[in-house]
Amino acid sequence: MLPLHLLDEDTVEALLTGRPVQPGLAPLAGAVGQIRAASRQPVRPSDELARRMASGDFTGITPALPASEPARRRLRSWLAGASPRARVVTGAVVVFTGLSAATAAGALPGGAQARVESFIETVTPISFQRDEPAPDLVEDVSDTRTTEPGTSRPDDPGKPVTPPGKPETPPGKPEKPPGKPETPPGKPPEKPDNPNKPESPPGKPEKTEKPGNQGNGNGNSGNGNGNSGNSGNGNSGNGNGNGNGNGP
Amino acid sequence: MFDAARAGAPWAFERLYTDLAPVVTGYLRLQGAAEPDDLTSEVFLGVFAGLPSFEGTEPQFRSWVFTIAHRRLVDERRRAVRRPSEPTDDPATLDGPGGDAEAEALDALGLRRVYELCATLSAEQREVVLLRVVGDLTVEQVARAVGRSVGAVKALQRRGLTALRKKVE
Repeated sequence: MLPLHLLDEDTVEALLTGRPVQPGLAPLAGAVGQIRAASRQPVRPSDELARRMASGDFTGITPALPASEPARRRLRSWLAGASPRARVVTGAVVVFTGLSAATAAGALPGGAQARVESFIETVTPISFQRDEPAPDLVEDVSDTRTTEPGTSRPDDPGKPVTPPGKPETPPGKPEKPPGKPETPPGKPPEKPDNPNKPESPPGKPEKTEKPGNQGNGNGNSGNGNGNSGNSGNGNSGNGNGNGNGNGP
Repeated sequence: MFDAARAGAPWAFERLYTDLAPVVTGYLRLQGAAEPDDLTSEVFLGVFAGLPSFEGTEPQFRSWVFTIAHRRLVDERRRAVRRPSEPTDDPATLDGPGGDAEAEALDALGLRRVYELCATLSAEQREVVLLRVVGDLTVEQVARAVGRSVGAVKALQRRGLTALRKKVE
């Protein structure tokens, strides 16, 4: 018996194709020959196949696909049989998935990358990490607040960076920078003065904000909205109460 | 002959079926198909219905037919995934086909020995070895049929023959 490692490529081919091999491999060649010989028994076609072969009519039978590109053909035939709504949904899912993957890989050109990132962050819970270091940016925001508290606040509140439902801060990060008050001291008195001031659209993301700054932006936004609503209702109620009491 | 079959000539269908149906049935049977004869008829119904879209030589046609047979077999296995057992993967089933008459018939055809040989192969090895030996396909054709690389097919066939060698020597 020859060692097992002597089954080289030529020997394997000879065995599989039925060509003569070394005498030491005769039992193996015989076994392969038995397998080959066992598959030579004639077989009768089914009644339907026999009938269709006799007539040459194979209409109504799902044709087998050519072996060249089965997957593409299969997809094409499936799309051909799908409803228009299913085609649209399938196309949208494919495009959105591809865009998300390309965006996650950072493969889009600069402007398109930022736009698609903001769109995906708006419509999904996915958030993309920017490369810039967050601590510097937190420092920048802190400087702006401390130097111009009255002028900077009205611009900030209505521009949430992350959509509703998104976690405001990444796990492990403090929600607020230490030592920073949640509501700036000068903010409440300003709100009644501007009750009708249009807020920035909630869905408009701010491109220049960075991940480390998102928690601050959301907190400010929530405070701004809440103060505005409470102030307006409270003033209205007080006015009515005073009028009734003074009349009689 | 392909042109005649595309034109609907019954003799051409008969000729193609006679040439290839025995080996296709043998491949399906040794792969453990539940009803190899019926599955063969399904394969040829699809092949003949798709013949107008086929362009190629006779070896390519043979490769295509076995590719379809392999796909139908995979489909059948998926459908039967909750069945208790598969014939060629279960030695008890291999050793005891249903009844004395059937066992005698298998012995007479030499199938029992062949089943035992095939049972020594893994599913992947058996798939490749049978397509090479029974289907008479090349390594490249087998790779396309089963969706593997040429290198993977070569490795599987080598390991399969090694397993067979251990069994017979």
